[in-house]
Amino acid sequence: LLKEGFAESAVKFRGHVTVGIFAYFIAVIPIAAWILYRQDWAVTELWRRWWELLICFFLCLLGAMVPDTDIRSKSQQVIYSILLAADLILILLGYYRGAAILGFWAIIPNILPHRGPLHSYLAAIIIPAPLLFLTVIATGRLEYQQLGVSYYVAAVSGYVSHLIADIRIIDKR
Amino acid sequence: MGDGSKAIVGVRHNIRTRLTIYMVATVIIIVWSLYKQSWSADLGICAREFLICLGFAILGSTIPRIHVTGTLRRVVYASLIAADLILIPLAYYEVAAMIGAFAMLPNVLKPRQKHYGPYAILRTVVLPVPILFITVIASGRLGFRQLGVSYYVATVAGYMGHIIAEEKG
Repeated sequence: LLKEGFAESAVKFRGHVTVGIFAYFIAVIPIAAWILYRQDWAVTELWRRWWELLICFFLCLLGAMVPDTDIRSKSQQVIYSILLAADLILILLGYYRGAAILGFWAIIPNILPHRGPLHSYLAAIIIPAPLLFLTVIATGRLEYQQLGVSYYVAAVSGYVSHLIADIRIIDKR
Repeated sequence: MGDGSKAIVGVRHNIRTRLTIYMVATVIIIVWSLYKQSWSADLGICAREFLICLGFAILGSTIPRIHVTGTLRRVVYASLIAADLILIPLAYYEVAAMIGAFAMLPNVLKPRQKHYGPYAILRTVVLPVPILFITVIASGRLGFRQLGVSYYVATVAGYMGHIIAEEKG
């Protein structure tokens, strides 16, 4: 039964990833607009930040997987593999405080009911919020241009795409 | 001998094996506790050690079911969150970080339909090995006496007891 459940979740996983890819093609418009505004560039110069667009793409896909971390699924496996790798790196580098806090937040979805608090639009806005401040922390400059708006928008788009897919497509099969 | 008699013998054998494991574990825990205290029995410390070991034994007995979404899994994770909520404000970041990493492991591994294969007993001994080092990390001192042998033995006993109970029972 457990294996069957996991196989079924793999089908849903593919569905969510596909919807996440579509969501990115919509989200790329505000993402590109933000990059151009922040860098004060013309549209033709956008390719110079190709790596930021690529990171945004992966964040959008990860965002589309996050809501399913409250159940045994392929999405959970992917997200927790990344979190565990990050946690182990922090431990090895001696950043125990960061690792402890990351570990604490990572445990929480395990006690939440499936399609509970994680499957809400409020969660879609709140959970990716740390991405807004990652670049501020990385650069050490407290300016609004340093906010990771592009990353945040990408993750929120992926997250919302999952919620919409759950309601509109996958449940209606 | 009929099937019923065979089943009764199987259950008796099962109970006997489990009792032996628990007794051996208790003896090891007592000896290790006394060794750690340089063979002077402080009842307060012994009682505290026993309570912690009981907690580890219960945790160990839940390991085979951690893959299954259900009440037991929620209880285990809720207790880990409670432990983190105590450890992080008290600045025991090393132990809290370890708990977080171990809590993530079952989510990364593929769910097993058959948790009770031929290597199950070997797994009961190998999987809890990191518990040996929890006290080393918490104390920050690298010594033989700092090893969490009693906690490890309690976890293995709990884990092994569960496997034997479900395999032969």
